[in-house]
Order: sequence, then structure tokens, then C-alpha cells
Amino acid sequence: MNDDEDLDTWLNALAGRTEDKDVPEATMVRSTILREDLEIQAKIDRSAASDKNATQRLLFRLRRERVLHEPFFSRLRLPLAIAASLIVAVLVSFQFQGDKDTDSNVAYDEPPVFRGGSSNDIVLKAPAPAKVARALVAELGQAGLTATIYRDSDGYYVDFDLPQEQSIVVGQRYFPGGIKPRVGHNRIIITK
Amino acid sequence: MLDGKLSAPALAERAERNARHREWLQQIVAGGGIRERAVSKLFTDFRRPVLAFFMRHGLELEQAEDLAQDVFVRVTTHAGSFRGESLVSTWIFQIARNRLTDHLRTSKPEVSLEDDQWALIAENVSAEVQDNRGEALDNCVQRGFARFAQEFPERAECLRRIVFDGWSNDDIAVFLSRTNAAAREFLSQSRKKLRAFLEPCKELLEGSNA
Repeated sequence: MNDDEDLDTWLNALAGRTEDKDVPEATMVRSTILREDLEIQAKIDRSAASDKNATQRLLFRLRRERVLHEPFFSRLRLPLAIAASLIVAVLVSFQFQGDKDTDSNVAYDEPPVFRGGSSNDIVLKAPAPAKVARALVAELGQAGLTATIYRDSDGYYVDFDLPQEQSIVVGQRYFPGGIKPRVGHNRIIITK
Repeated sequence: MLDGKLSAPALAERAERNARHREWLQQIVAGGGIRERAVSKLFTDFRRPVLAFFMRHGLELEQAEDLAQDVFVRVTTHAGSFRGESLVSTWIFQIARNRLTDHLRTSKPEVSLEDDQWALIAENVSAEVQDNRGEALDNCVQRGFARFAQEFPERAECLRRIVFDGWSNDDIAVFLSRTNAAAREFLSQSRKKLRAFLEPCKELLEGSNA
């Protein structure tokens, strides 16, 4: 066997394509690498944020950096672009008038990412997420808890912490959607 | 070549996965509402391997998360430059490798064990398992590979990619931004260098093969 063939045999054993008994060294190295990976994956499982939270964080960053921004006007000819911008301006001004109260207590920053997966995420489906979010915040406020509302294209997020000492009082209250906050950090995701 | 002995199901599975990844990249380039979904799918598929890649190079989990985010911002902004000449995974790990290089250039090196500390660990481990040849061999190869990876992180990473993703010589060439011939020489040299680290295991290896 020449050097080239020898290298191919070794690499194929490393890739697990052959169980060549002539290359136990490559087979052992392969086992070592796979074992090493299992240990790292276990560490990720124990401590990393969930895929969902990490994806959310990425999408917020992409939106904030306008990476996902569509160059809408670049596709239109100038007169059409001007006409479109006028229509949009009129619609937006009406929209803002209508929604002024609705969004006044929404923090537009991206929802923070909670590392360690310790957040108690609860998903609520509601036909009017903004209304439910506001009702929830009011109810939490009455229970002495401070909540923050965030919003993105998926819906509304209500974040709050429940200290141990308030858990009994809070546990006796009824919250919209029948949610049961847990001690620690809670995130209620309200979508349509 | 390395690809020559890939079994038909393995080849089909790899091609299918790569086709899916390419489709998501195309959706990112195309824009519109589907774009976010495509980014999410691609990120979910690659996040853990990319995190593991950074952690193997000595980064803490939080740093690895931050760098993985950077990688996918770049994947999203540069999706249009992917020409399909390699696997999507190779392209993404090439971006991860570049990001790691930048990071290491601007940060202080991680604390690493000195040679005598390694030797001490090695002695302790072999004393513990000297009555069990199989375990002793496992530990010996593990120590040898760990030292090799510490000394030659890039060579170790290429061997890992061959194990995990069945990368071919061409994939390694893309990852390293080298020609195919240079990549092959790199792999050959990597094997030679690794063998030096596995020299203490030779006797155990021969015993296990007997």
C-alpha cells in the first residue's frame, strides 16, 4: 500500500466508512472525538439557552441591524415610489392616532435573552394580544409585581420576576388565561 | 479519494441535508416573509455544532453563544455569495473559523496547562487504570488527542469534521481556504503529527489488535 492509499484508508476509518482492523489507531481516534463531543453536547444541554431563545435573540439582532430589512423602494420606479410613500405616510399617521394608547407601555427593545434556560415561558393564544398583555400587566401590578411588555412580529412578551416571598399572595390570584407564575423569572408570550 | 467509499445511503442523506440547507440560503437571499423562517431553520440546525466548535477552542459557553450569533449575522448578510461549490456546512464552518481567528487575535489567550501539568495528569490517569488495558488505551488516546488538539487546534478540528460530517478533501480545502493538493498534504501532515502524540499508546494499541 503506497502512502496515498494508506492515507485514504486512515481517513476513511476516521470517517467511520470502514471498519478496517489494520487502522485501529484511526478507529480509536474516532471514538475519542465522538466521546469528546458527547461531553461538550452535555455541557451545552446543561447550560445553554434554549434553541428558541437563541433564535429569538438572533432575529432581534438581525432586525435591529436592519439585515432583514427589505429594500422595498429600490424595486420601484421613482414616481411610483413617491406615490407609495405618500400613501404610507397617510396610513401610518392614522395608524398612530388609533394605536397611541395601545402601545404606550410597550418597550420596543428586543426582549432580553435569559441564559441558562431558567425562564418559565408560557404561551397564550389570544385574539387581541395587546389587550391581554395590558390586562396581565395591570393584574400583576395589583399583586405588587412589575412587568415589562415587549413586542415583535410574533406577538407580545410580558416579562416579570416573582420573588419567593410574594409567591403565596400571587398564587391566590387569578390571571388572564389562567396562567400560574412560578418563583423566578417568568415570560408570557401572547400570540394570535 | 475520501469520498470514494461513502455508502449510498450516507451519500444520499448528506446530499438531502445539503439540499435543504441550500434551499434555506436561497430563501434568505430571495427575501420576503419566508426569510426569517429560513434564518431560524438554518440557525437551529447549526447552532449546536457551531457552539461546540467554539467551545472546543477554549471559549466559554457565553462567548461561544455571542460568536455563534455573529456567524449567523454574517451567514444572513452573505447568503448571496454562497456559490454552491461546497457543502453549506463547510461554508458556515469557514465563517466560524474566520470569526474565531478574529476573536483570538483581539482577546487574550486562554489559560492553558503547562506541559508538566499535562504530564502529571497523564501519570495519574495511567496509574488509575493500569490494570485495565482497554480503559488505559482509551485514556491514552484521549490524552494524546487532547494534547495534539491543544498544540494544533486547526488540524484537530479538520479531523473532527471528518468524523462528524464525513468531510471530503475538497471540503477541508474550502474550510482552510487552500487548494485541494495543499489540503491533502495538510491532512497527511496532521496524521503524522497526531501519531507523535499517540506514540505512548502504541504498545497498548498493538496489544488490542493482537
